[in-house]
Amino acid sequence: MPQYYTISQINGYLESKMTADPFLKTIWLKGEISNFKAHGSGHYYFSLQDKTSSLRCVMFHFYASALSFLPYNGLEVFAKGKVTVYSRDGNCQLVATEIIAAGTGDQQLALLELKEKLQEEGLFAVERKKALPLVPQAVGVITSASGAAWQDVQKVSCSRFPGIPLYLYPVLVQGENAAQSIAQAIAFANTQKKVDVLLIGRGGGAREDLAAFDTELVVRAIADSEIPVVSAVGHESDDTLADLAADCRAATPSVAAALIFPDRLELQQKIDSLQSRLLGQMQNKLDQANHYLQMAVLRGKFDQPQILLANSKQRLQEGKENLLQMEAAYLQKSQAQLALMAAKLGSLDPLTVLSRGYAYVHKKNEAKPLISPQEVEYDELIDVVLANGELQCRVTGKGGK
Amino acid sequence: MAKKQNFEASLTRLEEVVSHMEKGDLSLDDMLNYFQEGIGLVRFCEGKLKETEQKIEVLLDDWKEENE
Repeated sequence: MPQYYTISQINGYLESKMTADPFLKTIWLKGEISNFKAHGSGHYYFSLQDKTSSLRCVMFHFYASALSFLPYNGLEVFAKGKVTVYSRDGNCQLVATEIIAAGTGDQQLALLELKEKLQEEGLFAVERKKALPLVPQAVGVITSASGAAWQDVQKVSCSRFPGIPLYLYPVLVQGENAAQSIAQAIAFANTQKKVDVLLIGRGGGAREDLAAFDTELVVRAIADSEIPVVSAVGHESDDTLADLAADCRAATPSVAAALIFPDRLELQQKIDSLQSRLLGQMQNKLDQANHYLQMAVLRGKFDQPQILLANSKQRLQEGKENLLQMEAAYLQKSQAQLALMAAKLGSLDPLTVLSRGYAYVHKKNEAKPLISPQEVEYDELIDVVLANGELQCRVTGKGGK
Repeated sequence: MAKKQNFEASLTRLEEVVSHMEKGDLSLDDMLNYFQEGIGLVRFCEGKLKETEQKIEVLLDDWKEENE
C-alpha cells in the first residue's frame, strides 16, 4: 500500500501553505464580476474573471457593508484581499476586503491608500474621540467667512443658546491652499485656547470640492487638536477623511451647531426642577422647625406662651413667604428671632406663676423653697421672691394648716 | 478659556447642593447656607440662559493673510 494522505489533510496542508505565503496575503486583482450573489447574512459571493480564467471570491459582511456601492455582474473592478484555499472543497478563493470600480481614477486610489494608512495609525479610532462639553464656554467655527455654513451656524446658535460666544476662524475651504489654511486655523485655535469646541466645515459640494477635507494635513491637524472637533462637510453620505478623524460628525453645519449648542428650553426645565426641589427642601425644614417649636410650647402648658407661639408662627409664615420670593437674607434674620423666642420660652415657667401673685420663699442662705412652718425658728430671716422683686422678712409667728 | 463662573460647573454644583439638602440630615443653619448658595446658582444659570445678545468675533490673523 502506497503512503497516502486524506483529502482533509492535503487541503489543510494547501491552506496552511498559502496562508504562509506573503505574496498572497495582501494582493490587488483586476477582473470582471460574475455570479454575484448577496447572501442574506450580508456576505457577498462572486467570481472574478478575465477572458480565460476565473477565481471564486467572498467578501464578508464586515467589509461588504463598508462598500459605497453594490457590485454587479459585468463590472470591472480592482479587488483587494488574500488568496487562500477553502479547505472544505479545495478551491482557491479570494477573501476580499475592498472593491473599487476599475474606472476609478488614480486620485481615488491615492485617497484609499491614504485612508488605509491613517486608519492603521489609529487616527480614526473610537478610543481617540473626545467628548463634547455639555455647555460650551465658547465655540470656534473654522469655515469660509462668506459661506452659507457660517450663516447657518449663527442662526442655529442664536435660536438655541445665544449666551455662548462664537468665534470665526476664516479659512479657504477649497482650492490649492485650503488644506493648509484649515490645518493652521486648527493649530491656531489650539494655541489661542479661546474656545472649548471647534466646528469645521462647509456647505455641500462635489467630492472634488471637498478635497481639502481629504488631505493628510487636515486629518492630522484634527487628530492633534486638544479641543474637540465637530466636522460638517457637505451633505453627502460618504465621509471625508476629516469626518473620520473628527470627534463627532454631522451631515451639515446646522446639524453640527445643534449638536454643539444645547437647547435653552431643556436647560431651563432642568434648572426649574432643581429650583423647586431646593425650595421644597427648605420649606420642609422650616415646617419641621415650626413643629418642634410647637411641641416645646405644648410641653410648657402655659397660656402666655401660646401668644408667643402665634407670634412666632406668624414670623415663620413670613419667613416662608420670603423664601418663596427668594429673600434668603431675610430668612437668616427670622431664624435668629426664632431662636431668641425659643430661648425665652424655656425661662418663662416660674415668672408666669409669680406674676399671678404667688411668692417663692426660702431661708436666707438656702435656695430650697420653704413649704412648712416647722422649717424655721422665731426671729429667723427669710427671703420672699415676688414677680417684681424680693422682700427680706423676719418670722414673728407660726400657724398650722 | 477664562476660568470665570461657568454655566456647566454652576449647574453641576447646583445638582450637588440640592442632593445634599435632600439627604435630610442637615441643621437649619446648614440648610440655609446651602439654600443661599443654591439660589445664587439658579440666578446665575437663569441669567446666562436669558442672555440674548450673542458675542460674535471674527479672528483675522497673520496666518490668514499669508494664505490669501
